[in-house]
Amino acid sequence: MLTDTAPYRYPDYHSPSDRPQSLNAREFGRAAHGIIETVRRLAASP
Amino acid sequence: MLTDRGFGRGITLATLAAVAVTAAMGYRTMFDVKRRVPRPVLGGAARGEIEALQARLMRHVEVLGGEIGERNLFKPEALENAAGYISHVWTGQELAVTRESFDVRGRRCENLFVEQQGSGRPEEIVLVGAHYDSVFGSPGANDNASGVAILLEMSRSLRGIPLRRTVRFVAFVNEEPPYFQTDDMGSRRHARRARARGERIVAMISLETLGYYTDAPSSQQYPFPLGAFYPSAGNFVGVVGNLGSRALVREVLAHFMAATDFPVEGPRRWRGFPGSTGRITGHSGRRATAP
Repeated sequence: MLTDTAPYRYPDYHSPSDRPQSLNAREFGRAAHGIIETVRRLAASP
Repeated sequence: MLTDRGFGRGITLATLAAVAVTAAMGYRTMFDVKRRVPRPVLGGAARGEIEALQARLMRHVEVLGGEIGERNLFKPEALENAAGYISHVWTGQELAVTRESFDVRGRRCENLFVEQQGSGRPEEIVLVGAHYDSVFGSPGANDNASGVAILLEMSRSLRGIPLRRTVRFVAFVNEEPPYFQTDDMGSRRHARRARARGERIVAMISLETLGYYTDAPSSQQYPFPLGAFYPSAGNFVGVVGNLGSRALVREVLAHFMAATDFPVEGPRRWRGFPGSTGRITGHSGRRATAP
């Protein structure tokens, strides 16, 4: 599992305030880029 | 007599406490080793790519966790709309969507998935999954529209790239209570079906709540006693797995560290007893040096 750890970090976890604006778009994008590249390498490795 | 026994008990407790503290300190010395792997420096092209990626990710999050909002079997129409959106995005990527439908108390719900065939070992499946339902009372932008957004952008980004293994992207239904760890949980349905078909799933990576990061001190909590070994700022991606999947966890961690400079945390390594050479060998065969 890849995770930002949810209840251990996120103040809006399981709450009505878990809205798009609660995310950090910039960091989310950087993390996602690394995750996509990770799966690409995993699937490409012999 | 009573006093003597009380005194004896006190000594015993003190000894136990001393042993516990010593053990904890020793454990920390021996295990608290973070991999020292050189991290890449991302160039301008990668940064431009990430900016475009960020915009597409946030669009998915805004649709699922904003316009559609709470989506689960208490809000069946929204759940259906979410499935419709995921299917629409994949169809737009020219991928054939498979719907895995089942009924829960008379209500139809479904997992959705697409695949990219491997060219070397197509029978080996790397499964990447994210649940698309949200918990009761929450629009679930981070939990888990963020994971679904990455899933949708991963299939798009890997499309047409020759890969040795087959990659299967699955949007799971019914992860949240009251279905969590029941037979109506979408991921369990998929796993049973895969087993019945004799499929070889060599790795399963769950994308779970991946959109919140902060550098603030003490922003990160841990299940006891992990807090003693990990950073206090919640600015990293966590790579987590059970004991049986520890080789995969290490492999994922190594790939992630080689692919990006984004902070990441995973299982710490044994470095031997205090006073030993302090050298450990990583899963990839790379040698890492302890601090």
